[in-house]
Amino acid sequence: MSRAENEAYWGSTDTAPSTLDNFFDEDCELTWTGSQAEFRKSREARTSTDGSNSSASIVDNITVHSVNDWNYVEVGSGRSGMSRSSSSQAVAGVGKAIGDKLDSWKPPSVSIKWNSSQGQGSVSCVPCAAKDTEIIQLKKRLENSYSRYNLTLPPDDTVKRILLGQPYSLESYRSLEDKLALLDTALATMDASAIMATVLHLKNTVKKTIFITEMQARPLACNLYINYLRKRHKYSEAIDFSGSLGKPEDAAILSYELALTSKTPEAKIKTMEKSLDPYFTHPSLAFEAKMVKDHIKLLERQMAIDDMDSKNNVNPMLLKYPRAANVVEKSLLTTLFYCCMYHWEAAENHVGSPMALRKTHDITDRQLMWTVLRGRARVNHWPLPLN
Amino acid sequence: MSTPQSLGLDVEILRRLSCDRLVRVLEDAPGAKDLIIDGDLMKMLDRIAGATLLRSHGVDKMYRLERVPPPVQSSQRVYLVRPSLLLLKTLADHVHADRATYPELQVHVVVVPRLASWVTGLLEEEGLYGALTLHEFCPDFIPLDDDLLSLEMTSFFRDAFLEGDFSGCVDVARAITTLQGLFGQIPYVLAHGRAATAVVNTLDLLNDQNSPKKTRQMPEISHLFIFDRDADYVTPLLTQLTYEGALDDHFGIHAGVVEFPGEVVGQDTPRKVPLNSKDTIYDNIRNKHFASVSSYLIMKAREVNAKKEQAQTMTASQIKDFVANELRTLQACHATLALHLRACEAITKSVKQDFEKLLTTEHGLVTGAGNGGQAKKFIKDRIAMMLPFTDNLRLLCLYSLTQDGVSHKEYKELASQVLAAHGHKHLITLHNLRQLSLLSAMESSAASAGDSPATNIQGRLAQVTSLLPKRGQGWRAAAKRLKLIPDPDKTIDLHNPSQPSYVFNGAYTPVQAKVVGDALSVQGAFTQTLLDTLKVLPGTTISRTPDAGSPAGPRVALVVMMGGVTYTEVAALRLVAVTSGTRIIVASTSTINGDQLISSVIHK
Repeated sequence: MSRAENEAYWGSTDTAPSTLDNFFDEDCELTWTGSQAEFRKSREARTSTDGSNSSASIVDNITVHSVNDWNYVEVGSGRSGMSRSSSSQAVAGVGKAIGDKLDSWKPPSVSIKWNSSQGQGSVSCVPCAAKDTEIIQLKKRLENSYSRYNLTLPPDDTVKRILLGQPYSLESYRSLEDKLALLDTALATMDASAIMATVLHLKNTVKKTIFITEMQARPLACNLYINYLRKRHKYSEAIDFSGSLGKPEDAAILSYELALTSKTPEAKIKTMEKSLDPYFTHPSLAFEAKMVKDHIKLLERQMAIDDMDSKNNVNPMLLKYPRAANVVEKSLLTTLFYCCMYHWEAAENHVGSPMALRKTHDITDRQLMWTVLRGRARVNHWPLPLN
Repeated sequence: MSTPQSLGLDVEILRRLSCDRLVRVLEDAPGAKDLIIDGDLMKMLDRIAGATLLRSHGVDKMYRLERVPPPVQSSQRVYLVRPSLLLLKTLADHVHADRATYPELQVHVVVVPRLASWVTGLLEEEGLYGALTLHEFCPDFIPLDDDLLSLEMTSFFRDAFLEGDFSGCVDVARAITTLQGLFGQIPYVLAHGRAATAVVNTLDLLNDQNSPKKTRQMPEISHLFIFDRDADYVTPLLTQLTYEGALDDHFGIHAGVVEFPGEVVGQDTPRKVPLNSKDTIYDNIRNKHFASVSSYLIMKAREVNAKKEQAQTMTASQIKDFVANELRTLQACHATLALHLRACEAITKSVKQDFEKLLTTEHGLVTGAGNGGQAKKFIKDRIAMMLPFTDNLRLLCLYSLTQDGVSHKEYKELASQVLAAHGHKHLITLHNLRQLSLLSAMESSAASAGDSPATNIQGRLAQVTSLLPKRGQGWRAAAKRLKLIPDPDKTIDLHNPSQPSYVFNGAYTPVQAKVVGDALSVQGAFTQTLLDTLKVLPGTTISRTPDAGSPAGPRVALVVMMGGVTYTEVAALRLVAVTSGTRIIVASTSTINGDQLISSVIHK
């Protein structure tokens, strides 16, 4: 068709809704790469070969997904099931479009694009068909890349700006490769400010599985991110993240740390017990798990002792040497010292008995000796060796 | 001991530069203002500017940053903080609280030394992004002395080596760039370690930023050495034996100022005394081994007394001369001598009874001559006695480092005793130490039950081989390669030392001193052997030599330590300066001692 006929055909339709006018406007963001063009061309071809005037509305022209249909085109791949008549895209027309582009540096107007499909004189051949369609795809991509909505700044520049405290923008890094290139450039400078900015950008714009896969390959970034979460008191996120990275020890320690931030001893005990089951079950953490269990046992005992002694008016030691401090949350040996002072004579089933404490917590002889000596010395009892 | 006279390099200029920058920042918030300062920054600010200068630029009241905001008095507030998330959260809370009652309050936040991306992020989250004005104040190296520069970044070690936040490297690079701007591009560069290489890379980046002016200027510094703290963990863990080191260990020297308690000063209240080379007596004793300090002081005291007695028998005209010229210096001498003698006494008294045993154990562990089993028993005793936590941890880490790691069984034993004595929450502290490789437990291969005989043998073989020390790795191999442990048969003169190992009674040479000494003993480029030996230390090396024909400049070396420098190392480097005829300027992120190093990773 000649250009004038083309214009007449498109301009004259009164069945197409007015929104169609915007369809080919370069300023709109079109994500269709090939299918729209193919659709149009196949339409043209069909109308030209059929000669009959088919309906111009979208709904009537939607192709149904069917492998045998020669109109079927996958968005983005564009190479399967190409319409044969469109193989006659004039190579000259294509060249003209690119030439125009290089000269004017403006996105081409719609008319040039469609007019390039006018040269239909050449004979169609199958090998050229694939090449031609590839050319069309590349042409589309080139046009898109010139569009002002796909501008990406070089990552070096942005990272340098973050490093020097100058204003920067991460908005233009939208494709995954761009974001990863940005992250890797930041990692090369080893500047935490740049790395954190790029990591957070990645986290906020990409789904969790992709984020974790990419971070797994970059241990320095992981370490930094976990510590950032820690400092922001976002412990549960940090624990989740360490767990997904496959680092059970880190997750365990973080959950223990979270438990220790609780304000009251009861809350501490509760959170520690809760953390034992999911996080401390890994065999390499056997020692740490035992320590946490000991901590829980000690806290419970200390709370019981404190409860009892604060109400106690009978114990002579308590009266003579009033308590300097609460025994809750002190270390094991300090607790032993306390028990040696105030509950030396107590029976083993008594909560404050030093013997009971020793048995439960498996205190070594050396530790026992030093602590008992000091504890008894404090109350002026000097156990002398028997002659 | 005297260092080569100043070769025209005046480091005082740095202080003036920092001061000017501070003034400029203060004037960005013109008029009356209240200053709220992060506690970490206060000592550094003291070194740069005094209260009078601040007041002359409109500062009314100065507060320390705490959880509760101070009362609002003037209409402007200037916060001076480091870019730490915790501080910023406190700051944000302050602003929210104050804004509720005083909506016209103008708040300025000065971030020292550089705005980090998380600062703006946090402020944005708190809804304060446009509500306050952000400024940057980048102080350069602060001269604590003619040959000691510091950035006073006390949290650098923890941030970088434990948490992976190497952003301090950019600040160090900036400070070095200022130095290069003043004194010319440094031609010879040797950097080793993660933080060190990051600094060099950032230096290149910053150099590209600035226009390449003054390329033909004759450089006044010829060598730049940068090391990481993890190149040598042993030096800070050992007890310091030089006078200055002992002062740091006992009383704590912060930003070049020590606070002596009342009995040392001779008054009732403690007093802060700046320690630098302006005091000639101090300059002479600071690097001496502690054993020789008191004898020197006593000798000097006798001289002073002799002079005073001489004054008794002078004629009138001689006395006039005397009063005019010498009396003041004599009195000052007398006062300093008395102060330092009392300090020596206080140190010797406060040292615990088992000091000898401690030293023998420490040096035995390092030289490998001591008995590992006995050392372990000693450590366990100290833990059971509940001696100070940092002391116990230091010894434990030293044991682990010098033995190239402890077995899993030993680790469980020692760890459970530490936790029993100091609290179970230090499970986190121990985890931190393991991250830093200060404490390492060799993994135990769990033998699964019910193995068939064939796999059982294989399993046992694997177990046995895993227990053998790995050849060529670990601290001991590195020490051997670097020749850090001097020949035990050669005697060391502690009074007039010629080897830097005197700082540890001849048992060990600090790594920095050895490497710098080796590098400076050769004229020109760094030898390949030196670069090869550096490979045993963790991290990679970058070395630069200038092109032939470009001027090398006078022999001045700048040694930068990333993570903190101990006064022992400073003393060792001063000796190297004398023996190699080079002026050495030591710079670091901060001064540090063993207690501070370990405390920074303890879980609070």
